[in-house]
Amino acid sequence: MAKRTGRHKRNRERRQWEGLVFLLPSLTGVTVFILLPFADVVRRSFTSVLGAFTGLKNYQTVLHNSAFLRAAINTGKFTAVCIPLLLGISLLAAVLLQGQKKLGSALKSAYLLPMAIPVASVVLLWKVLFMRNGLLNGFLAWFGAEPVDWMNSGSAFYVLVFSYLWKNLGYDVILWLAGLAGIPEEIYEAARVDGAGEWRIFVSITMPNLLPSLYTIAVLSFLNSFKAFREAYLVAGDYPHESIYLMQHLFNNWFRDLALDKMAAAAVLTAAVILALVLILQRAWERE
Amino acid sequence: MTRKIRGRCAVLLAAALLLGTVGGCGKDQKTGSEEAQVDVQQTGADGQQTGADGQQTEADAQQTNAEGQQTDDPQDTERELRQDTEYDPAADGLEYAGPPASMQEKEKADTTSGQSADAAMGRYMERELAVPEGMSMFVAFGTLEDGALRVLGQSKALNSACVWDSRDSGASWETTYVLNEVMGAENTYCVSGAVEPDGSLFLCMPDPYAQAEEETMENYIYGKILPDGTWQQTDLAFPDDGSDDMMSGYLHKVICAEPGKIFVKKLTGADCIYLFDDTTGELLATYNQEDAYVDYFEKAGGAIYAFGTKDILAFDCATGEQRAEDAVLTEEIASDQRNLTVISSDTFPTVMCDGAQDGEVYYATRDGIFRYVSGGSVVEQVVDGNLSSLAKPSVMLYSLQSLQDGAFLLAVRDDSSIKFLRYLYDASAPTVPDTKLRIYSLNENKQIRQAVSMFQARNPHYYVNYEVGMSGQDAVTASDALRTLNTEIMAGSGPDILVLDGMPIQSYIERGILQDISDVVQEIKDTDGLYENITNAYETDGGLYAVPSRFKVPVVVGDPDILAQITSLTSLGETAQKLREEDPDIQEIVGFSNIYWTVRTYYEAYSAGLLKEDGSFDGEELENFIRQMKTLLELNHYSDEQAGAVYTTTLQEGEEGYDFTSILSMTNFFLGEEKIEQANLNSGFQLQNFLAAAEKIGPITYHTTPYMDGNVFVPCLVMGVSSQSAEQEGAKEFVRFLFSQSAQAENQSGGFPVNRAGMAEELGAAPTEAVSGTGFTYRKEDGTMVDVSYDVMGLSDEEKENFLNIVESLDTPALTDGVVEDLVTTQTAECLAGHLSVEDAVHAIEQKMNLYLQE
Repeated sequence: MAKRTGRHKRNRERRQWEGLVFLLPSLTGVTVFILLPFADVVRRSFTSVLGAFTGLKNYQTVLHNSAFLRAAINTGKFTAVCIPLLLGISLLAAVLLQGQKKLGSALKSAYLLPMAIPVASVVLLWKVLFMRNGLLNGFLAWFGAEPVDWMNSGSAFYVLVFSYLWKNLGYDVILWLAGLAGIPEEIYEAARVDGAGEWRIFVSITMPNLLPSLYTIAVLSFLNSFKAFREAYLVAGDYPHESIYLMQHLFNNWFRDLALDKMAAAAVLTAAVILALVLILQRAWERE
Repeated sequence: MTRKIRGRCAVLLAAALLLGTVGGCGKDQKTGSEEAQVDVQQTGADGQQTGADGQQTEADAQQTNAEGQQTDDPQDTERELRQDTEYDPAADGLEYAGPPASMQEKEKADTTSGQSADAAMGRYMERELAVPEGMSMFVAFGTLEDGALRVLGQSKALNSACVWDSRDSGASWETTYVLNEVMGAENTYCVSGAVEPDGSLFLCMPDPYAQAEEETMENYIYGKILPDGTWQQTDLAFPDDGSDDMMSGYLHKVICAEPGKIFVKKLTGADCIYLFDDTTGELLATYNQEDAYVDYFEKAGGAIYAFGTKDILAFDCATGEQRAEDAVLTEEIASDQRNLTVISSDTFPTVMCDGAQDGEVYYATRDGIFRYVSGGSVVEQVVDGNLSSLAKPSVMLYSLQSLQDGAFLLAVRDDSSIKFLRYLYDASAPTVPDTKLRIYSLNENKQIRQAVSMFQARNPHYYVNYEVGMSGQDAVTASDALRTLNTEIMAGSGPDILVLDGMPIQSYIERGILQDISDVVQEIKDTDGLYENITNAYETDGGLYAVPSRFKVPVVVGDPDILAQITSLTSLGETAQKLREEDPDIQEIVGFSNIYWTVRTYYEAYSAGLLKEDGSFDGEELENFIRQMKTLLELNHYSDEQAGAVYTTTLQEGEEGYDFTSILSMTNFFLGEEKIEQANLNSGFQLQNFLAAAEKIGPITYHTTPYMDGNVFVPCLVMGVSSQSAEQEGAKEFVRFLFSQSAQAENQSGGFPVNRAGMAEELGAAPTEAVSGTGFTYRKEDGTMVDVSYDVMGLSDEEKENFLNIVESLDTPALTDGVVEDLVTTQTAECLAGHLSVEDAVHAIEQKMNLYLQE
């Protein structure tokens, strides 16, 4: 018995080593191109630009920096508004799409199309729509409204939210559809036989079964929310309206001014917050 | 294969991948630089290629130069290199101490151990020859059958075209012909011509015998000076191309095809090159392509090269057919628009000549002298423009000639003087100097280019590489360029010297990126003297990390009584309104070129007042600034056509790097259509022009801008040395030179010099005669013609003293932060154009400025 247990243990260890070996190339790439540079960023967060050790001074500077606080608030606000909206709308669209037989394929492609459009083209589209002489103002002028430079007003935030939702909706719809496809049809049939309505089915069957997908989609959507910076930057430059002044704008401008010490400290803080959020989410789903 | 073996193979494979990844990241930089050196094709005197790997250099190193001198002693080499330049260190009050100590040690090590294995040797050295005494204008030169050099030009003193010969390779010249005497006329003025090998010359000139007041085609005559010195007039049988303007007889270019035949192109009329018999005037051939535009042409290697605005056409001289086999050459030249852009009627962007072999072509541009063999696939650089005077912005090319000894002779105009530059191969000189300096600026700067070229000539052991962040050829913005620069700095491969205009100067100082150059500044202060009120503009904690090497003076121009009423920006607006009430018909009360540049001009004069003492942004001052600018624009009356030009709210394509804030236009003053103008004074010549115009218009004067407490100046060409530079000594050497009198006296409209001796030279000697003449003809809207001309005299002592007093009083540097300037200028321009209300513009600027200042 001991001999069988020992052999079993050695086989398990060997399988683990082999697995690690196959993981090694990818792990090497991640280590060299992401982990090591980030370690350097962490190091720089405790030094001046030229490498002299400064302790926690950079963190103090960043936490007292008004621009950092504003960018952090804007980024948090953007995320807090966009993620629930995106998850909700994309889930609704996926549920409605699931039942479509004839038009389902075409509609899926239509939802995914915004993702295929290059950022520069999207920016051009936003300028045509939302600038002072844009189509939206032209439409509103029929009703006697004064023209508004939407991207340089308080509405810029909502334009960015709309842009994010428009671009990422299709991606989340596809992920939800994959999740929905994994729910056995028999459960739905059994529920209908028991007299459950559509809403009851959705709440009691669909949602619980989608929880594993929810974690993945939430994390991916959260990471994608940072890409909204590209449109904001290309439309409005280094200094956009204050409502869409995001963390990346700050990093971009700090890099231009060679404030790498502050940038490193802010990057570490941001990474820590994101990591914490992801871990909390993971823990929450694991408990479920 | 068993699982054990599979596992071990996987481990080996993964280990190999890991090692390859880590090894690839640590690629040897030196290997990269060696490879870069090999790409530089250098050609020896006999046309053999030499490479940076030194394989052929040993053989070349034994070659003798034209004088038959051979030297292996590095000290002799150094002396000879220095003698080849005309630098007189005493003129700068500095002693040339030779190469820096670190380089002397390196040279000593090279001497004791033999030449460095990596050093490629041999390059063409530039030497300036004497020009004929009294020559005020160059027309053409050529080599005669007996090897003598012959030059055709103009002598201002004799008021005649002249011909000079040199029989000692340009060391001295003797006058051979004075055309007034040859032609029995007065005031002969040759505009173009060609020297033929037998000594005859073909000329084009306004008819010296004509008495007609109105010039017509008949007023240009053509003819030859024969070898016996007699004049023979020739009528060239041009075909009728429909041109009959007064310049239609002007020959833009004449080149000798062979003895007795000439190629010509007219300045106006058909875009053709004609071949004539220069004795009978018979038209022998025409070279053209339908719908092709030809600016000028060159002849070399058996082909005619017709230069257009975008491309070059090559025609075979013998057959007249277009040559496709020279596509490599024409495309290479045409790839840089500068090589095609003709700026004046007597100089050319690219000049060519024949080589010794059939089909061999040499051509010169700003980038150097190049060699090409017809039908070949390679264009070789023979002379690097960066290591010669060719890269100087002030140099413009007349003509290139290859000499029998293998040297090249280049006639150029450098500013207002004519120079003959000879390039002779020196096998003992390093192909590329060992010590490299990198200078970086965001925008192309002629002042820096000029200084680089001058420094290079005086310090041949340095190779100075001038890099520009925004070339204007791509969509790179200032932010993009700065990020790229910062990446290089942090990687340790940043430039040695920074031109800090448009850069975050304070940020660089705070982060220790810049070296304290107080010692360099002190040296210049002790010798020539500096305007410390300017140079100390960025003094930080007693150190000078960023020092302006030039400055502009914002001035407001107008009637003295009007200027006396202007004490602030608000009073400018009030005064302008009063003037409009008094004179409702005048076009402009305050001059506007276009909205963007005018706002920027006023911003530079007013910017220092937009920040409070605590560094925060003053919204009230900003609002006042925008309101006053709006008022000034609205008080002007423009026609629809004029409004189209004025209402430009952004930087236009091609304007990057240019300084339109320094354009002080007096045209509307002459026309009586303007009361007040503002601009930045940036040179002594501009001041002379203004004062001459002011005297003509009278009474007009100028003051420093009175919009805030203190007298504002605009720091320009702010220089810094990188604290990360490996060539600290060399970098400081360059900065020292840039602040020296000789460099400071060379003004490419980059601003006044901060060097006191340089300023004295800039303002010129006491006026004895006109510096230049100027004038214009203008048709007013009512059809009347206004004809203005006047002489520009040198500054009187009183005028100089007045200006120097102003310079001494300057105490407030304008804000040079590019981010702030862009924010304020663009939003204000949008407001003036009616796209934004004043409140919206103020709010937008304040909000963005707050973000910027909070960062």
